[in-house]
Amino acid sequence: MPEPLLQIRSLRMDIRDHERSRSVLLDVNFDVRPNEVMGLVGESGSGKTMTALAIMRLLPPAATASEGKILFGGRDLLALSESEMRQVRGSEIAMIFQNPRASLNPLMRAGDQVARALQLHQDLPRSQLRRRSIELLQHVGISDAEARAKAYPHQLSGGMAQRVLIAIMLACQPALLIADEPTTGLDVTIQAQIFELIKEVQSEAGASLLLITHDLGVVSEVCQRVAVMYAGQIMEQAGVLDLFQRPSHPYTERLLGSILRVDEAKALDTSRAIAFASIDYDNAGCRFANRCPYVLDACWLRRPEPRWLSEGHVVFCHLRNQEAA
Amino acid sequence: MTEPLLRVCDLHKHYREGRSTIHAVNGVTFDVYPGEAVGLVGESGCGKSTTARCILRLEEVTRGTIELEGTDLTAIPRNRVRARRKDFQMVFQDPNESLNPRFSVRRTLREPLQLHGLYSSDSQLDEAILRVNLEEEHLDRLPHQLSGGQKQRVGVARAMMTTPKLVILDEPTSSLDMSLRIHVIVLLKKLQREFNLAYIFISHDLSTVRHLCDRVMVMYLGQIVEQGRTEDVFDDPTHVYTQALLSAIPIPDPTVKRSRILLSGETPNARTLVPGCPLQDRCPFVLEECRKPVPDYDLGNGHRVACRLAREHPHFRPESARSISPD
Repeated sequence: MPEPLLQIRSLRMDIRDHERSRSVLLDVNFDVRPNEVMGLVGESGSGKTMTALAIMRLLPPAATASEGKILFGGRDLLALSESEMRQVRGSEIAMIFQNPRASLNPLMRAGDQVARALQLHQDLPRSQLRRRSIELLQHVGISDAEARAKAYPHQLSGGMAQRVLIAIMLACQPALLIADEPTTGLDVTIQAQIFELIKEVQSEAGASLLLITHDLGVVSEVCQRVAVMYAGQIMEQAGVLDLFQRPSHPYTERLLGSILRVDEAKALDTSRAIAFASIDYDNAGCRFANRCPYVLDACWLRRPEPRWLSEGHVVFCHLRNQEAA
Repeated sequence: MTEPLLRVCDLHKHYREGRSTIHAVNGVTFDVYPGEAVGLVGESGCGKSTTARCILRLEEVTRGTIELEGTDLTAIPRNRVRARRKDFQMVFQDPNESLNPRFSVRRTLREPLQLHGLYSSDSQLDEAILRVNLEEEHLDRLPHQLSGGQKQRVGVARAMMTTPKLVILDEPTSSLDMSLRIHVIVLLKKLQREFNLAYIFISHDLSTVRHLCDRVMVMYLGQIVEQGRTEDVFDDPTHVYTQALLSAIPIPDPTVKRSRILLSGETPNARTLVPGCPLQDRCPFVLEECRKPVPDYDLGNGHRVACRLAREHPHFRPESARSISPD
């Protein structure tokens, strides 16, 4: 197996809120391998966006990565100086966010923003910048790119703005792309177009993609492997087929149980869904314990040891460990 | 057959914008019967929310009629509409914006009762809060002391206070996590049965519509392009737009491989209306005759579609085709 491109090891992140501090990420471990699409899936408050921001070192001021390592190409990103990190951002790891229009500079024409990225990362002569940026805009499926390059972000639709961001990302030729809910707020037919484009540019560029989403449909269609997060902890990690066919963590099982599919009607059954309760970040054991239908005493005391069910499929659950013992 | 509760007939809503006109809703006609849940689906800008706002008379219509139990709401003065509001209520998309942040839940729920002279005691409020699976203690909370799912249930409870006949739900689940969504849908279904409510459920989330609605209407560029019983439209979508919309939704099952109809480009703006099918510039199967007005074909069972390709449908019945006037 090739060496992973990105290795996250025992990552912990704390956020201070007045006097108390809460770990919004705890013991997060996963890899992104070369040329793969890795999914990070979870609901609000699961820490999936925080994980991405930690990789990019774009954390809010109140947050500190207090334990662990983020290894990228042999270097620990958490140990880099800010100026070293700036070299990594964009040119080696690039990220696209939800709400694409907010990620563009509102005072700069779309084409100039692509040209600026080219200038920073590829050192092209000025004469070629414009031509190359229009080529990139065409490449991401913007029709009439010459005219669109002159548009300001507010003149672009959400789908169009996300295409411009993808063009900027391509200008940098990064080895790792991070996409955080890249289609939230876009219509489904546009969403389908954007995912086709992201898959295309990822495989063409030979880059790896870390895709952050709450949508298990997107996971199923785009990702090869996936880590399921809940309340800042990874609950289960597996190949996509394995996860859907053999979900092993009670959270994953219940999450899959609450899906409503558009292609088949099913009886609405809340007894298989996740119980109403707020997220318990303070439990010393498994943070899903307060909503878990199978909770054991051990779940309140300590984090479960990882249990490997098969190659690449790992689950963190006392119940599974007990069954195996 | 029972009389429809709501009859929307040839509804148009146009906005002036400088020298141009935005054709938000263009000739929408449909009925809602007592106790049925009707889904109004489509992408942003298709006119689904404008249609709802017209029904609630939050907008003045440009043309057309909206009859609630025989009274044309567009023809009576505003203060009389207000009196009728107890029969038709709305649940809004974002509970953060639709709940008054300074009102306790108690006050939020009491107000509609007082406005319509239905208030007798706070036991009505206890009953209402329990109905949406919250506790009596929640009555004395302010919105910021509630979670997103709880706030949305307060919004639902408020809409039910006056025991309305029709509730319009505008994307009520879109701000909720998937694991909560199923709870809200089950709650809405329970209330619907309990009060024999009719719902107009506005959403772009077709999975939710499939599990909540009896009938569905698909809108594109201000027109209903396809409508019918939910299982007919979802299992046998006939308009190319409906097919594209359904095929664009990722299926959470890696063993399912589907072919996808990708529409080119984006929804055109609604300033200039071209005759014929609204999808003509994006449709991969467009024919020359799609540039001419498209009739509404009847596929039986109330399944109607405005697409020339429907002629290849096995249940196609040309004699019942009804022509839509180009506007």
